[in-house]
Amino acid sequence: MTIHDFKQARPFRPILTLMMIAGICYAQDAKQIVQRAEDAIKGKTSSHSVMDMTIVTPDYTRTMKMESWSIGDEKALVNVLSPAREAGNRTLKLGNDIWMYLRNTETTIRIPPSMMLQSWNGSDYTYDDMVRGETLADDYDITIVGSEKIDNVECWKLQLIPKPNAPVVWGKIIYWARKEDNLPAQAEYFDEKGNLVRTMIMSDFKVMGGRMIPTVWTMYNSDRTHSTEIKMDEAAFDKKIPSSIFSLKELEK
Amino acid sequence: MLLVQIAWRSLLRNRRRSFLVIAAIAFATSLTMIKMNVDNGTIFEAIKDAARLSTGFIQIQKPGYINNPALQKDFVFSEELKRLTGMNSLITGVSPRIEADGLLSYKDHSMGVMIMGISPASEESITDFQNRVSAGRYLSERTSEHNGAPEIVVGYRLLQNLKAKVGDSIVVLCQGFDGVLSNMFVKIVGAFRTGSEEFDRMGAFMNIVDLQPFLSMDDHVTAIAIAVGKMDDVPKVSSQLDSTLKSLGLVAVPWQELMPQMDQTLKFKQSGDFVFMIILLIVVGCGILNAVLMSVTERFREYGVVLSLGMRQEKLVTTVAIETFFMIVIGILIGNLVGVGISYYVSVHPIVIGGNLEEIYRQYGFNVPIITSYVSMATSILASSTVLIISFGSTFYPLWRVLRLEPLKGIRYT
Repeated sequence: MTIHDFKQARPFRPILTLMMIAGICYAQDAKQIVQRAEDAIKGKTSSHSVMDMTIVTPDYTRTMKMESWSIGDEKALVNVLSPAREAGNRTLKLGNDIWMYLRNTETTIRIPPSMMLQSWNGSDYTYDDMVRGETLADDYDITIVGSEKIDNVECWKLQLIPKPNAPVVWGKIIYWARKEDNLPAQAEYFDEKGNLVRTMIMSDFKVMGGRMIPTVWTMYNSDRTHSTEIKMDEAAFDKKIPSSIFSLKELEK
Repeated sequence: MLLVQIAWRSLLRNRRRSFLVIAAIAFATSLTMIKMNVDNGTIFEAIKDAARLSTGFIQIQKPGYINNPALQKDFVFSEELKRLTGMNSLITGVSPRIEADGLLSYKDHSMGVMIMGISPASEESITDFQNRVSAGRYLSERTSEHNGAPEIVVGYRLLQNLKAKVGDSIVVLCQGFDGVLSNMFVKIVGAFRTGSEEFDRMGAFMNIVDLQPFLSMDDHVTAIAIAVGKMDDVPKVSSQLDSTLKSLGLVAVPWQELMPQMDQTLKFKQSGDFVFMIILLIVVGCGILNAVLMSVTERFREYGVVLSLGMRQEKLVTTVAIETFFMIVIGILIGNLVGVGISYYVSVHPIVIGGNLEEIYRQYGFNVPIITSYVSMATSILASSTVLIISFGSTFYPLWRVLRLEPLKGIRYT
């Protein structure tokens, strides 16, 4: 491009600038959608819920009933209520560490870093999923790529690409958030090579704990041979939880 | 026939010359053969060591287990399987196994572990784990009626990393057959040192009868390890088992697939051996060429006289060719005798490398490296035919020289 061309292009500059600003606003919007979606299901300060986790594999299907408490992103405790063989097993998350309390042998095990990518209680979730502190809205560049209907509800389709140097594990996330209330409806997680690794589908949107939330979360592996469904039975948000329950001492009680 | 007679006579006439050529060929044959036998012997020894250290030569498994070893790819070590493997006379050992991933925890330390559930008595015919115990003792023989706490033998590095001692009770945590997370106390009765870094850091043994109820597996197993007497029998036994196993929904997996790394290492070594063999063959080829050429050129004067007396050139060449052929055959025969003899001696009395290093090797859990050989008909035939081809190749140039020989030049210039 010569200087002459530049001069020629000049009249278009305001338009270009306008388009750029519009683009930023648009991006801001997209970020807000994801932020709202994530906030809606997390609870600002704390959450308490009772849920059924159903694990489906080609070899077996089993359901566990669990109760969980959490404060922010830092602390969480999960207590298994049934089946009887596993009842009383607890998982405690404190920051980046996870401890398992095993009722049968009355021992507490700190999950070693080498085991973090292993399955948690046989589910499609890993220990790492529980401690990873990634926030979608901050760690990813988010753009709206379209709108699609999921389960007959109009959704924004968003593309999340990790920001350079963001401490994330995914290469790309495609995220569907409902237009009406910005609740998450579906997410597809891809690795760096662009292969689909797993899919999360949110359904059964209900008012629970004073707010509208998806009450069934189903995680599928890439070829959908495995799945883990988490169904909320009860949920309460932003209620006071004594932070003393998140301690190793309490864990072994 | 006359030509054969002449050839034979000229062979006997200058015995030292004939002896040199024959010696060159015999040397080439025996060297090639010994090299092949020692290569094979070392490779077989390495495979045997590796198989005796982990997988055994053959395993019966569910199809797909090899790529995705899940507890759910299980089967019963049924009477039918016992009969099938027991009947086969080439099979020297059969032992059931369960392999499970889990976690060991002692006080503040927990480590991922690969637990191998074995049957201590029958396992001795497959592996020599019992000889690798570096502290404490090996698993005791137990029956399914439980007596005492379940026992575990762990890798010595694992024991260090757990900061535990022999005699301590530790917690083992595994996801069972039905997905349930089970945990129980086991007693460390010993530690082993195999020399495999990974296994010493991650491996542990338990009695299969303790592991089965713990993983809710009843009497099921994930593999049956099989030992055979001779390496060569592996493909034969595999194929013999395969047809019956197929009807049971099982497969026989040979060591190449059980230990793909080993297989690759060996293939790499074999290609190195092959290059070395080519170099060796070039050297012995030059030796033979030199000897034959010498024995022909030194007789140019003689040939010149015969030619000028009216002998036809082709007949002369034929005589020389027959003579060389005799020497090649005799050389190869002697080479075979010497080669097989030395190979056999080495196979019976392997050469131990290291001498004083032996103690250190044992301490680190390695087998003492030895040079041994494996005598087989195949290598004899291969070595002989290779030397035969090379010898014929080396004879062409001398024969061509004889064919082009002019009587007067022969007489005058030699």
